[in-house]
Amino acid sequence: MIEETGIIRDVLEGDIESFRLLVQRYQKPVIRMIANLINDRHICEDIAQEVFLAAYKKLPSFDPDRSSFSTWLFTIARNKSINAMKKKRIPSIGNPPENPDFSDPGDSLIRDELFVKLERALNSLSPGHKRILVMAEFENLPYEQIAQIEGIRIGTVKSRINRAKHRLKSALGDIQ
Amino acid sequence: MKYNEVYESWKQEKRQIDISQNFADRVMNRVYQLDQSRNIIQSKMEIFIELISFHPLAKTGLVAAGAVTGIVRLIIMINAILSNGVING
Repeated sequence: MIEETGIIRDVLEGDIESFRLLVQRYQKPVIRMIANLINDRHICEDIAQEVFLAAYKKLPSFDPDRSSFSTWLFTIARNKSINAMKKKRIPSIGNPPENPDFSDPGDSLIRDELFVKLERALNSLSPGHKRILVMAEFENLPYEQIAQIEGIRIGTVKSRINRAKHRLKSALGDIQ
Repeated sequence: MKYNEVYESWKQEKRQIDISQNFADRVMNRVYQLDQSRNIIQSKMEIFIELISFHPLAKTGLVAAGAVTGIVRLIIMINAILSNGVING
């Protein structure tokens, strides 16, 4: 894997095509994060395009001593998602699970129902709690990185994740 | 059915996402477009600067325009101060 600092240096020196390597490396996590934040899979690629374009424009101001490239890029994705939700007033009801793959149809139905409950609980969280949970649980970002992206302390990240997880668990009621 | 089992399979579900095959191409097209428009602006600026530095008449015109703008701003400011003074005093 080519070092990111080397790729960034090449782009800044005029080798625009090297930027494709960064897009290919981060397209999936960025699109997935946006999709899970805004609940609209149709427009998440458009927003992700804006994220990469903004990253390209701002690349000269990227400072590797302050944060990693991924932290910087996820911060742009976070801000673009917040703006998109404000502009479009995206409803908070999530998409139902798309490809449930369970052998027993009865089991599948129950799980579908539980997934919908979890989805509702996720969308009932405050935007800040939801963002942190999405980054921690679906993107597996370390707490330090989430703290940097959100501009809060690690302790706050941990407590918000715990609270959000508790809310999700209580949404499923009796299940232990 | 245990909560952890449901939660983990839900997480797996949320982690699955299909993206367009040509996503990177679309981004790169826009990047190239942006770069092209930047180059056009830059070359227009270069032409403008060249025009000003090599034509004495253009240089004089620019200096005169700057001076007129400065004088107009000064007049507006003096006028604003005087009218405020009249209102307050």
